[in-house]
Amino acid sequence: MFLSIQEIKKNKLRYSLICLVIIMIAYLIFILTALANGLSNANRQAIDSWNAEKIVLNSDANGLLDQSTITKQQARQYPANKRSDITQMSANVQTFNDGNKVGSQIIGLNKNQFIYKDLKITSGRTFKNDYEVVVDDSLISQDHYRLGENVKFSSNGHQFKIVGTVKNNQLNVAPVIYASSKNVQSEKFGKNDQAMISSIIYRNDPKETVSGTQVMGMEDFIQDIPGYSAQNSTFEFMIVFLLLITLVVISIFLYVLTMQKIPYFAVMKVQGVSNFYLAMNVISNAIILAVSGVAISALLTLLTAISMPAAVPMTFDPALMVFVSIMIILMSIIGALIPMRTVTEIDPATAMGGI
Amino acid sequence: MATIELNNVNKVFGVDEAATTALNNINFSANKGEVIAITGPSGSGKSTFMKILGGILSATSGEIMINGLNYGDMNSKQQSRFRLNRIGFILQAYNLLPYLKVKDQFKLVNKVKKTGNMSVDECQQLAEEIKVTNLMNKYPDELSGGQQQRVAILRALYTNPDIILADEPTAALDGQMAIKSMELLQELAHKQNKTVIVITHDSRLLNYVDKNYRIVDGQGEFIDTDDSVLV
Repeated sequence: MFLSIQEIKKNKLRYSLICLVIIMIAYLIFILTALANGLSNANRQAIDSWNAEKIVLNSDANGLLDQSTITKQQARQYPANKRSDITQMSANVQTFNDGNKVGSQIIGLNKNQFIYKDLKITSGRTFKNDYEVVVDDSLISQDHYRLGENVKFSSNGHQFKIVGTVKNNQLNVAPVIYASSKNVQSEKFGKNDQAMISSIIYRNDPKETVSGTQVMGMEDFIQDIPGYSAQNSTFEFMIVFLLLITLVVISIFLYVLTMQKIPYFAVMKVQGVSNFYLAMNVISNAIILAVSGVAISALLTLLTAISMPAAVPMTFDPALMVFVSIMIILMSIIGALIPMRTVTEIDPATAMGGI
Repeated sequence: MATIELNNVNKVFGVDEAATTALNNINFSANKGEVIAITGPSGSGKSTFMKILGGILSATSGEIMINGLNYGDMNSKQQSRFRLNRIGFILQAYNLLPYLKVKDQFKLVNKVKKTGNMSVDECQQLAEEIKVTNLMNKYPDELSGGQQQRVAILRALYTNPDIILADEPTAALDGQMAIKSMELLQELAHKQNKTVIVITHDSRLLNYVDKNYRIVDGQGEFIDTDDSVLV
């Protein structure tokens, strides 16, 4: 480490430029990770907040909540324990005052079931009658809706009053609005089919499948959200590719630096400095560059997170960032191993001229 | 027992028709407290001789005994450790790392060889003697050739080696400093029982050596130190 630090102090510009490349790559990885995480969360936050194990959907719904309908007869055959019936509807939520419209996911709940009971209200209160709703707080913070404001989410003009907010409740990248099951059923299926629901959520395994329905694990259900898997795979591919680029960049830089230092390594070998010490010198160069690069890019990412508008779906998860940082540093160390063979094969005789 | 003993050492580079004999049946010995000059014309095999002596190059055949140990029996790691602990090299290329200040060159030695080095007082005393005290906070590229060579001499002596191998150690020094450096090496050999072997083309330095080993066309012999034929 001593040799590496002195070397970097002496060649500040050279190492700063290498560090700059690492900073840019690491910054890109952090931002992509945050974006991937944010978009992933925006698709599934509400589902995660239910803390459920299984979901019952119509067998023809292809795993999609908005295409699923469960009839009263089918619903009746499923056990009542740890169950929550939901009615889902995609709708534009519109204010009466200025006509502001936001695409939302309306989730109708029964007040005697677990999702309603477990709603974590962050401001206001939970809904108590059929014309009150609880909304994801992004509707308040980003879309300027207000607590106590009246909204409508269909053409029939029913008014719903926003009485409370919940945090981190998005579904399919849209804010969730929790309302009484009765009104959502009538909005979605019409007044004659109020007994129909979209699906049944379980915190345990119902252990039976009624004809015309299917029971899915929640993770399988999330993976079937349109575009969710493809989007995640794309981001994962980009992040892995960037990590590999880090590996290649570090390897190339360290290889070039090592080649330039061959005469000095040869002199040190003449003086009896071991291959191990020289190898550690190359590895510590990589560690110093990677750690500095990652630390500076983490700081830049923090500044970005502070200045980024709330509407941008980016989630900076510290644990994930630490994991990504470790991966970058690990890739750099692996990159440093590539010129190692050159170091061990340096002939000390080259340090002494003549025949 | 001689400190260094080479028996029937041969070194051939290349094979078959491309084979070139650099050293031919070399027999050499050096004792504690001796300063020996290695002389001879360019291309005669002096540097090859020095490399083999320092374990940098292996001989094609023959026996190399240093302090009673057969150098050829050691693996590269053992040879490396032996060089670190027992041999001080003063090279033509000054052997200083360009990215370390002079004081850090010694810190590096302390990192790789934690015991047996000169004390701070010893180092300061020697530094004053060869006039490098004021150079401690400078990088090698801020020093003249002579200053670099003096630092390199101090660097080589800093590990308190038993054997000092010097390849043209005074080439970059002015006459006065060259003499001073040779006096220092001579003093180290005579007072501290070190073995000093010096490749040189400088006839003035023969006044400070005990023996002159002349190599011509890969063959060596001890000759009179008064013999001023160096090339």
